[in-house]
Amino acid sequence: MATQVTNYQCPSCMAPLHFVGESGRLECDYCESTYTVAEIEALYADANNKAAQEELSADAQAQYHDQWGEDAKNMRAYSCPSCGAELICDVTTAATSCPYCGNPTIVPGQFAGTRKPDYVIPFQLSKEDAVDALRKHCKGKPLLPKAFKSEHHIQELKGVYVPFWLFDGEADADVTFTATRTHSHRRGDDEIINTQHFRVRRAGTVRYKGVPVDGSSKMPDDYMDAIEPYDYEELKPFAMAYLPGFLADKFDVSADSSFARAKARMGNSALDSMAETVFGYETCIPVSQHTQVKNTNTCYVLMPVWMLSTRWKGKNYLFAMNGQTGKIVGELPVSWGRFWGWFFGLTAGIGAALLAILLGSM
Amino acid sequence: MKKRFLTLLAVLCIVCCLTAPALAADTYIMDDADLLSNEEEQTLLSDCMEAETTYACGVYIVTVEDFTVYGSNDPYEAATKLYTQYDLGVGENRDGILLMLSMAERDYSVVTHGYYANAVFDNSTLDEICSGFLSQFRFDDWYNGFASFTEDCLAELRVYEINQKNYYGEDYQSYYNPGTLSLDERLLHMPESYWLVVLLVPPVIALVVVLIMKRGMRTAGIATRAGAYIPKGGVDLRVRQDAYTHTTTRVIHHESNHGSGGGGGGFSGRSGKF
Repeated sequence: MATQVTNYQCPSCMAPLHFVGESGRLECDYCESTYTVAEIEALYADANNKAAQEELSADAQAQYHDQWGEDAKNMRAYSCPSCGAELICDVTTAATSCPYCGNPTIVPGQFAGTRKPDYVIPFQLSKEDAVDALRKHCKGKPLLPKAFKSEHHIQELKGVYVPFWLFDGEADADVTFTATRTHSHRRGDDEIINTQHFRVRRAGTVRYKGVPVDGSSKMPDDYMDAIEPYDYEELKPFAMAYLPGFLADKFDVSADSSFARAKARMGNSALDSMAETVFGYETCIPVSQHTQVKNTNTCYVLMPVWMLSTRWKGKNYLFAMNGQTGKIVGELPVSWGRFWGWFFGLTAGIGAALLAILLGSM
Repeated sequence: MKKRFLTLLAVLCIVCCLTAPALAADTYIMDDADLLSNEEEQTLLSDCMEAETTYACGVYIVTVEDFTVYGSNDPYEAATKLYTQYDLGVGENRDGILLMLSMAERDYSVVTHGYYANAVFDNSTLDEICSGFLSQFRFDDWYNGFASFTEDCLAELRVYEINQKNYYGEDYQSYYNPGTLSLDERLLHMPESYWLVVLLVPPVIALVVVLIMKRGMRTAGIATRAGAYIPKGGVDLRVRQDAYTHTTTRVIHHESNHGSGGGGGGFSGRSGKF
């Protein structure tokens, strides 16, 4: 028996609804009706609660265990309410779409109980914005193969609500530096250089608010770090009505495990903050430094990310775009012909300029 | 009337003939410290004039009571100022060599200017010239010191001309006037150090630039800082101690001699005490 999922359908025509970031409302493509998140949440509250309860009992998993063996541990089966097709998803999937009827599908049980996100930042940029951002990202890259812009094909473009932990914390830092100030004066042919040495100590506490760490093992950490920051002014209390039309995962890396990364970042920045208060010296070298970071609060938040995967010459290139700010990161292919072309061109240009300067000075 | 005019003309000619050497002497020898007699100046003048007319290189002598009145605490700088102020040198590159004596603290400075003069009076040549006049000045023998200077300069110019003619031919001086050289000739005579710079520096700069460009092709990276998440007023500094511990002193001795460059068209030379 498959567990329960919810399709958000238009109350007027029963066609699928999806959340549109630009309007901040759920829209129906068929009858063009629009609804606020609150209206749809109220309408689906009972259905979601029921689905969540069933998901929590999760006894349906047992029957797949025999057939799929160990793989069943990482899978869940759901029944699409629109077409009745059976959906087999990753155990962390919280929002997806039915591959048969295309209807956006939510798994309310993934966000039931203590696992429910505290906040969500809704998508504010559309699929078209993501494609446009990738095109702009490819501009002004002298080493990019010329054919890449025209020949690469976007294999996959998906809007994903990525689970993030936002950590508030306090870092106590105690740093000791050796610093110097130098004065010099001339006495005849001698230059006298007096160097004053100081022992400088700074200690204090640095508070942090909302250091993000992605809680999904599927998402590459370097990509998720690089698309920061998000504007927390736009954080909304979590509602499942923000999810239709996008993919969503629940976290599979716990807050405790994720805090190690946040702790390292907070510690490093606390040391930087202490160092920034030392000025008036010519040299300043840290000789001992201690930090102690404690977590004061943790929030579970879903952040909007557009993931773009392109394929060119048999190799996949992955890009991620912040679905709120439009910041895009990724790896572009390098044309080695262009690389060496630029190298030799620059060498010749700089060489000619240097030669002209040196000949002019003769 | 005609007789009177001819008489006036004759007087003018005599005056001109008498004052010309004195004016010429003022051009090459500016003896403000009054170390030389008129006869001595005239004797030295012949070497100076020969250097200019035969070798297109000025040889000058300046004596002053105190070089610091020329706005510098460095005798070498003062000598370069004098060279510029008196508009010394011969030809387009103002080639020449100047010996300045300052009596207040017994300072001397020799400066050369111009491609040709710098090439003739290189480091080793200047050493020889300086040792020649310094051995006389130490005994306050001013005339013989200056004579040593002008004679040595003239001798060096002669030797250099012979060597250069053997190597480049009769037109050797054009190599010290870049304006008259073709690009090929200038390339042919470019110093080795310049070639090293031209061959080594550009590929290094180009490599750094293309590696930066390549790095820009991958924009994802693990974050190591969280400074963006410190709220306003989020840094509470409890301890701020700046304790002085000790002072160390280092003395760097600068030789007052200025090494002769020899390669460029600007000033080079040396200074010291006599």
